[in-house]
Amino acid sequence: MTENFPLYLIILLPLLGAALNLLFGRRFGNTFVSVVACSAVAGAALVATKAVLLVASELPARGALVDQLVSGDWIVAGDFKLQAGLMLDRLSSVMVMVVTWIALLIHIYATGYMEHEPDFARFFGYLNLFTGAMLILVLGDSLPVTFVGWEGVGLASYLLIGFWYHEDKNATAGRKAFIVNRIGDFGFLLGICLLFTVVGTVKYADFGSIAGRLMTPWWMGWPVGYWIAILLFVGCCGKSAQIPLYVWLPDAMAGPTPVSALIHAATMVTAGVYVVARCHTIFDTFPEAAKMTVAGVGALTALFAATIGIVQRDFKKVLAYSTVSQLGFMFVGVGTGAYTAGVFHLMTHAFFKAGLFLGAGSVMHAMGGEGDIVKMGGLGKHMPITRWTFFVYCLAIAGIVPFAGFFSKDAILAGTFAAEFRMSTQMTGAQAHLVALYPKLLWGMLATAALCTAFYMWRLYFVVFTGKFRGTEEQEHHLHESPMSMTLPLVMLAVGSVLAGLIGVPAVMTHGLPESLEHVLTFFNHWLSPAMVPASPEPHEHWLEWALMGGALTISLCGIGLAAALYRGGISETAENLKDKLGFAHKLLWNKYYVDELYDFLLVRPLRRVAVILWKVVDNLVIDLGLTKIGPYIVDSLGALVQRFQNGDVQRYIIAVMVGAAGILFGSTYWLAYQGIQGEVKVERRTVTLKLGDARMRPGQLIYAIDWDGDGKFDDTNVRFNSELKHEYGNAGQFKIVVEARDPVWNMVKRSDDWFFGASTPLSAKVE
Amino acid sequence: MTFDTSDLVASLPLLFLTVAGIVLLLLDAFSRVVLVGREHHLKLPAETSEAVAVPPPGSRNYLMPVTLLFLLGALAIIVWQVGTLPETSVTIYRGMLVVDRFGLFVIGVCVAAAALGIVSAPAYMRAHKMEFGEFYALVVFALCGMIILVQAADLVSVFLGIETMSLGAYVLTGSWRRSARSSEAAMKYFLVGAFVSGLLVYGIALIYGVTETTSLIDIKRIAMSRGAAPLFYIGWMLLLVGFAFKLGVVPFHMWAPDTYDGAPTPVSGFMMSCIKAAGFAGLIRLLQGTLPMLARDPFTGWTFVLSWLAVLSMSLGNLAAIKQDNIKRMLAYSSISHAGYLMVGVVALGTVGDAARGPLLFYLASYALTVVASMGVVSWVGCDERGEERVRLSDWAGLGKREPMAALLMTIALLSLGGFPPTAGFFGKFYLFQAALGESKLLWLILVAIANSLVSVYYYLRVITAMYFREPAPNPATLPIQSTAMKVGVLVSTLLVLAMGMFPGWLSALCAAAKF
Repeated sequence: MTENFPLYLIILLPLLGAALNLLFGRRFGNTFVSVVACSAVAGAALVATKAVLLVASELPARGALVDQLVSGDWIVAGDFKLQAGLMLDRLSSVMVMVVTWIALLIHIYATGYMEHEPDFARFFGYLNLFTGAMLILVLGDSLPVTFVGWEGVGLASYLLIGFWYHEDKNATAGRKAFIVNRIGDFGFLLGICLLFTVVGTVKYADFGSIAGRLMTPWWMGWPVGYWIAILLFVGCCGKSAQIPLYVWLPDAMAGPTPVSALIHAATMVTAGVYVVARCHTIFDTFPEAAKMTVAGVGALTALFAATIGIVQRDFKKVLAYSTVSQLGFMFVGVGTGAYTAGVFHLMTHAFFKAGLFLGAGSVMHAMGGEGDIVKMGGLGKHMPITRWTFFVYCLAIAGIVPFAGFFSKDAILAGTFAAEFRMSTQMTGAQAHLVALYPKLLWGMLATAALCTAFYMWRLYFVVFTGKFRGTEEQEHHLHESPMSMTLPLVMLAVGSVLAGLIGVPAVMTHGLPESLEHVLTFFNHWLSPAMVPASPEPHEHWLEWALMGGALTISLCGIGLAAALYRGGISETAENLKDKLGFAHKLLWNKYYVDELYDFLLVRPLRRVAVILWKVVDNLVIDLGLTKIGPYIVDSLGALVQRFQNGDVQRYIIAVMVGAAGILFGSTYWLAYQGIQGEVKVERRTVTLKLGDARMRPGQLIYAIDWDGDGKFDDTNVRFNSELKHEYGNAGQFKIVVEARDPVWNMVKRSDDWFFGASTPLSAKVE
Repeated sequence: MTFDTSDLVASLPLLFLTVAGIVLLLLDAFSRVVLVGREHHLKLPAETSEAVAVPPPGSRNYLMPVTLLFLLGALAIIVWQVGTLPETSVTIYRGMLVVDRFGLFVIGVCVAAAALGIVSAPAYMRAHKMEFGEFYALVVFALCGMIILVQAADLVSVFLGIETMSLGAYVLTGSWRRSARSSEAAMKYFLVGAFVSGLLVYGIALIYGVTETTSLIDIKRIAMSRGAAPLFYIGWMLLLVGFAFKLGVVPFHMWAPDTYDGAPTPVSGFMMSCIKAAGFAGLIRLLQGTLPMLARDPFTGWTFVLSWLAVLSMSLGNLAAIKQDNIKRMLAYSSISHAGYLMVGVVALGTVGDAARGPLLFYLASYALTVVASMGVVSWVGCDERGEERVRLSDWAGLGKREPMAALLMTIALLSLGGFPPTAGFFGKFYLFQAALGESKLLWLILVAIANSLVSVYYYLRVITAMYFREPAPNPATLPIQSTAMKVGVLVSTLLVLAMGMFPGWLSALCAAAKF
């Protein structure tokens, strides 16, 4: 069930804003830029809200609003026909609401944060461009349209990470993000191509009926669905910063803080999670090895990044690793089949992580750009709004009831614990046991990651906002609360962080409440499943669910307690001692497990060496010397030859015309005779049949003379062309046959043994 | 077959433009009479001592908008006709013309390209101090010739169309009377053109002698029943020579660089886009519509001959273009090589059949628009203080800084000529080669074409490099022409080129629907 709606407005407005700001923004000043940028996003948000309300009220659960972008086919290439359209269903509704409204808050925040920026217009142009591209990504009705947005956000992200490109380090970070993403995008594109070749459709609307075709065995005994899922997931790993392609995200913090909040925390990096949920039919292909991969990579990333986050000193780096870790949580969610939980965490995370980044921005704004938390401390009394909103976000991300993170993280943990992967039915006992144990292992990793999360977030909070100020006096003098444009989004996101979780409360907690309240509290649980995605796995027993919840809460409280013990009121001596005692572990984490160095050693250096060889040998020698010197020489002399005929002499022009006309006549008659001597020989005992020319030739069009025995004398002359020419041999032997064709009209003569354009297969007969 | 008033409605675009041409001629003549009292003499630069009577600048400024209105009107009529056309083609004027979607599509392309081209004419003429009021009337009359050629159903109307079109083009080429190069170009074009017209009419006579008819349908019928006689054959070859000449196909191309280079730039653009489109359409109609028997018959060898003409045009055109330092002349050679690519399409028509016609039309349309855009920029870049065109590569150095918009639009146009996505030129080549690949025997020809487009990238990129990466000459005496109409024209054609490259679906559907 679909209905038309002008969805194009949602993407057009931000793109229009981008065009206006990039083309004219500089001329009209900062106020103009702010108004254009914010109202473009606000307009998109309003239209999107209107559309989402339509989806919620008017359409059935599986319904969607559609909008054809290009009438007819967008791209036609052979069998491949592609329409470009937009689609808004329940899944994209979640994304669109998150993207438009959070983008709006961050745009408003940025008007304050970037007020001293000389390149104000360029910044907002890019930010609008990003919003437009992100909306194309989530609204696209097929993988290729999504891919357009996918690349668009990649471009915007690159431009914004390197926004302050005067500093080499920022430009390098931008490049790194771009290149790492390219690796992922390549896999993504291959996945789309494979999907089209094998399944024949790339439209989401058709995905309901492709499950059977995805089962086709393809390579190494796995069904094609598995390979498509893996290829798409490679793309998701790049965009959503999962192992092994996560390395770009911490460096991406080189961009302005609102960018980190919008692109590298709340929206773009969650695109991978969205795609997995969107393509769940592909990921659900039996056996569910693809889902096991997704969940495994997610859990590993969650734990890995969370441990790194424990020791980092840069405010934004801690948050960056936290984002990587939280994205891992989401992937575990969608990987274990708890799609609703994964997408729910995506939504709640968008609120508190955007808030955390904006809080960080507010702090760094006050600190004059300083990002080292060791040099902060006691900021709480100078900037109360920032402090208390940050407090709320920290509670949310740590997963304290009833803040947003609690419900979404609990949903993922419970789903993971209860998940079952459907693998082959012919497994041995041990194998089956391992597969059954796998979700429990994932749960253990996530629980540990959750402990680390609570610890590093509260370490951050205590170190920054409590205790004494550790920076310079001049910095202390400048400390101030940020302007309204910045604190307002902080407050609104804090409200969101409190409330957003309350629409996805687990069913066990709402027993006995009034029905209308229960309906609101469990709203999200029914929004996506079972219409959009399969239902999440759930523990069968209520006590187990309560226990899991209680366990998760306890873990979080432990983490907070530990952080409070070590860092409350400043960095305690115990913390310093601990750091010295665990020197090796600290060094390992501080250097982020040396992954960047490892990549440098394994990939970057060898590639660079190959590049140097290519440069020295191929470029300098082959191309510069060979191609660019010798090639042009040949082309030049040929060109000079052509020019010599073009000497401006009209007589010569007319001669060329005559020569050309003669050439046409000659060429075409020559062609006739040439065709006439092409043929094949058929031997039937002593009778040899010669089939010459083409079936479409008319009798008498050519006159033949034939030498059947290769003695140089023509045995038959004046033979009118017929489709078959026969000859009876008197004795056995190998005979060479020579045919001479004459075009009676032009007297053009052609022999089959001519060295130039003779018979393409030599004519001869072997007679027994 | 009797004369029917409905014929008048069916040939409305032709009648409308004929009347438009006459009106324009009268307007021009009367504005001359009115202004005769105020006419004053402009002093010419020292080199040319004679003084020529030139009306005050701007006195005929209204001619261009009026022409534009006429052309848009014609376009509207064409669109209306396409909508009301029956499925089968309609023969009118006792079998002289035929009205069908194929013809209307090509006419539409020609009229649109002409409309986008003439908007740069007034500023160009003013800058080069050549007031030439008949310009617009001649363009419109040449368009009438094209319509006749494209809709011809009889050898007589083929000849009539070609001659009407060519006469307009001869005069337009020489319309810059003070420029020796313009006169030389017109002279050469006319001399060789007259000679080739002789061949053409001789070919028609021979065909008539053999078949005793000039109607293309009857010729087809007779040729199929009797088989091709030698004289018929010669006649047909002479006809081919005539077309190859108008299309600038090697070895009948030698007039083209001189003419396109010497003619006023808007005229060159008009000739490269419209005459090429109309000529190819006429050739396609001759070959495919009326001589399918010959098309499929390998022994008359026309696919063989045409494929060699294609190879020669592509290769020689590109090789010569590489050597050019003059951008206008480079584009002239580039147009010869494009005629070669189009010939590949014509060959594909012979071997693959109808499936190749849509791609061929797409290529024609995309090339026509791209040429109009690029020639518009050549006009835009302007002239030095003596009124000489600035078309040397060194004149264009640093254009990206001086005239960023012109440089950007030229870049897009050049990329389209070179066949880069996301421009129209990419899909033009892509569809054409793809259609030709329907016949594996043509693989060698496609490979030659692809190799050639690779070579061509060199000289297109050279202009882009000059515009963006070379420092402007220390003394840029270039005066860019500042004309809103011209800029809008170039912008619109470039945007169309981009639109066709990004959303090729609608145009290719239109091309596929353009049937005989």
